[in-house]
Amino acid sequence: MDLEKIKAANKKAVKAMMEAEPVLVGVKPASEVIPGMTKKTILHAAPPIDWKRMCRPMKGAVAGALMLEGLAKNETEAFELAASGEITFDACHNHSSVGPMAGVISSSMPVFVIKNTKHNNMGYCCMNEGRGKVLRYGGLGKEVLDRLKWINEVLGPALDKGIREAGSINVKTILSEALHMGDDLHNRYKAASALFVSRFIPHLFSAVEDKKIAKEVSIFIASNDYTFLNIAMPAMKTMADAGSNVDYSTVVTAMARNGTDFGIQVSGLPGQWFTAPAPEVKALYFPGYGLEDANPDMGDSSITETVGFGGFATAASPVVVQFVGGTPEEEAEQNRLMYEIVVEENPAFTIPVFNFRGIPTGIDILKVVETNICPFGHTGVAHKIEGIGQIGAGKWTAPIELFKKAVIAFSEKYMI
Amino acid sequence: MILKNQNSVINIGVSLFAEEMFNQGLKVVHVNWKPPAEGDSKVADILKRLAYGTKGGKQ
Amino acid sequence: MVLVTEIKKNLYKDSIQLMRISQSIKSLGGVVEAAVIMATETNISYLLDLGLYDENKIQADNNDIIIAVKAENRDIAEEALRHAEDELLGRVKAFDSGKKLTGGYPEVNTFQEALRIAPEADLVFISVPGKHAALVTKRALEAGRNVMLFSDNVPLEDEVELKREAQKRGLLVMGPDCGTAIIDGKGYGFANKVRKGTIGIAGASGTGIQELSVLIDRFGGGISHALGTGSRDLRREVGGISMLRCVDLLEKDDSTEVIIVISKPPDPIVEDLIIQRINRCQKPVVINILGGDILKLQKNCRNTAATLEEAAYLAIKLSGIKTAGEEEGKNEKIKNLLADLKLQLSLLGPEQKYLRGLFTGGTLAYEAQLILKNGTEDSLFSNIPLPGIKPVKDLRRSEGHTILDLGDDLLTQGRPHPIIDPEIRHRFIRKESGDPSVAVIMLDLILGYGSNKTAVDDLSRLIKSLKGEKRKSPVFLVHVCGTERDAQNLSASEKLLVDAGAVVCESNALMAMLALKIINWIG
Repeated sequence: MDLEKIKAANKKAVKAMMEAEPVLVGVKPASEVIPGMTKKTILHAAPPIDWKRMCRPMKGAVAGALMLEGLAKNETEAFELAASGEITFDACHNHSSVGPMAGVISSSMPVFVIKNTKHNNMGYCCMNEGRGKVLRYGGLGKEVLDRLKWINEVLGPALDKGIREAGSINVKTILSEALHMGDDLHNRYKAASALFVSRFIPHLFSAVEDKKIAKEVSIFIASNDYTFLNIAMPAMKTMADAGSNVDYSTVVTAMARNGTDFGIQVSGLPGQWFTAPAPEVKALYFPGYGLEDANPDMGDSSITETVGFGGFATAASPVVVQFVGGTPEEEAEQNRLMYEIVVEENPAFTIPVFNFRGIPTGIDILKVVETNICPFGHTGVAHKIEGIGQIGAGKWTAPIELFKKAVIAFSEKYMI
Repeated sequence: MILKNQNSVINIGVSLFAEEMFNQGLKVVHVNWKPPAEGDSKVADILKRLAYGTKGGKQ
Repeated sequence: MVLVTEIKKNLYKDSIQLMRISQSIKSLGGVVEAAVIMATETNISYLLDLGLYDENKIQADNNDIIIAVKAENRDIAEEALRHAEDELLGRVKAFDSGKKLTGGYPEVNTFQEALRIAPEADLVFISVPGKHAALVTKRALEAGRNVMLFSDNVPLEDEVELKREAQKRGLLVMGPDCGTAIIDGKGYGFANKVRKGTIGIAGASGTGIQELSVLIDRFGGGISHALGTGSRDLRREVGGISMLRCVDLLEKDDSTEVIIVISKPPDPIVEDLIIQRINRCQKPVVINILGGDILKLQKNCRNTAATLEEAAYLAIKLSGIKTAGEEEGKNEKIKNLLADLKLQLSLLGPEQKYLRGLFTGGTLAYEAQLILKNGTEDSLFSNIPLPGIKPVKDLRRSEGHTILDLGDDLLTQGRPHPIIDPEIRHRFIRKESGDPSVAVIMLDLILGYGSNKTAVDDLSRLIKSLKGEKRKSPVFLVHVCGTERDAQNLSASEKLLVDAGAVVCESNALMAMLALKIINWIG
């Protein structure tokens, strides 16, 4: 019977997700490791989208990347080149990669290399630039480009040395500990980043001979709370990918927003993106900003909710309400709702305030449509004009349209 | 006895009945039900077919 | 005067919630008329009637909600619109908290959550739209719970599947279209507060169960449990699955000593099954098939009754209770009522000769037809016609003698049942009262749980005003289906109606018999 096949397939898919063992093994230029990467390829946050429809922050990020690659001398040239058809655009997700906010990855950028040692699949993500005017918010200008160059030339290679000195860095243990320290592992990464940095720095100093560089690099990563975000995201990508491609499975293996559209992928429907217009974020704005300034939701970072973190573990991170609004009780109730739409609870990651219940893992599109409970999470809000940066933070909810489309496609493929 | 427990009921749908049952001293939990996929009948049919193991075939 | 209309797409609200929102905006200052409704065919004609239909704006389909407001000026109308929107969307917050406690009981978003809060619950009461009932009921059965399925418009195939599943699991499905149940003294759906006692009821008709229970209470008896089977249970396809289970349960139940089985005529094969089961029963069973072959039943069963009233009397006798007002008193009662009516009847004009029955209880409308058949065949119409009775051609224009079930599926699409919202009946009463050929208007007034709290006052007021108008007003016969224990209180209700000029009858059967006598006397 179909239902039994689906249940068995979902169990299999989520088991693989939970058994994945993502490990940080190095940092390498994208061109060296990301499948399908070329000098003229620009990857961005999913789902796939034409240049014409890209939001301004993403266009800004694309322009910055083209200048970084030396393919354009200035913004005007960059925009022309981007529109010319010569550049290959694709979603990071389609290349075993992920990127936060605009998520732009170009060929020379160093990327964290994650290996899932259990199933041997890989995951990649660019470095996190920190706060202020940054590429991932569409930031352009000398400051942004200079920092990107420094990342290419100094940060990347130094981190790579340090990681190889350590052998490898186990990502799961840091995630597990950070979850017990108040991180939600989407918007709050203070603990995870601190844990990573404190354990990594000795290896960094050991491996990098130039102590000035070691100091520069350690100050950079230590002063950025989101350092670990860009390591956790590809790790979670490998977990999700481990559960993909299972016949008859209705489990979601990717959720992403590109500032224009929201998209999901489903294990039993490999290669397909189901999309809908990205909804507005229910946000708290920084002084002087409001809804009219906001860009629609953006980023591959919802890969965290896809494997049970972020909004799905928000009860473990009460402090997040100071940025997104609401109360810890409301967050806990929202977290509880997520248990209604998943297949399993992951015993490796637990939420203390729920009596150490495992995080809800494996979103089932059938449960979403039956209950009308849609996955949710938190996010920063970008200004809709490129380069201005973050103007607030709040909650997103995946539009039910996505799951409707997926269920109908599933019924057609499997003749239900 | 007709039911294993005659003091507790779950109400799905119209809240008026939940109120009436509650006012008689019954333990009531009310489910704020909404149609699957916010009323999409194609999706509702798929869910129903899956639940009952009936075949729909290609549409 | 300004009319504004707005359509809300992809929004689900049940018809009672919508009714409450309508009422709340209608009460705003400067609002003349307003409606917040689902865009079903029935409701569109309702909008037309109220003068709220704007054909330029109405491009809605069944799943959409229409807000229509007529007000003294545009500002007021738009304010009312916004108010309605707020109320509609206020309950659809993006982040509904898990456990609200507004009514005093927990409200959750999913059945699974409800099970966690009430794992001991053995009954799930379901009143979702008919096409969704199957899935919701399946989940309840999968969780091992019994179901009372209030929903109507449930496809027959779904009913068969559900009952087979319930049977496999040893569970009971009461319904679909099961409006009434009483279990251990608690009323579920539309039900009256009745004395607890030793008589159990298994019924395929909701208002039939209500009428039986109130008559038993009136005649000095009491109810152990009253279980509904849904109106189609005794069709061939369903095979009486729920009826048989109800009889089993009542037979096993310690507090039940006598069982009443009521239904309309079943499929012959199913009827035989039921009769066999009844005859094997350890306890005495009264069988009341309304409109059935009474002679055949009398031959095959020990205790039969032709009307609800007879069934009540018989069950009480079998349970050993002495009661005043035996059946023999019936003719006496009718004679007395007729005598009271002499004056009113003499005031009727020669053109006034027809009867209009406006019922909110389907079984009561049915029983009325049965009684009126003999003597009015050729000129009797109904929207739920018995075999041999003519179907109503146009609901908006009655002809001859007409019996209407205003709770019929077709009339309640997207609207609350008239027991909950009697407005539709008031409109019919005004219309029929204004028809110069009408001599008698016959009404059932159902009290108890689920019924409209101001129904008695509203109806009394309406009858009083109609009788007060200069034209020759028809005679109003009312049967109040209620008890002294019901919140609206039977005797207080009857008094209000008598004071308003209506003639009150203690049972539906009596009311129909009186109506027949009146028609014959006039004719």
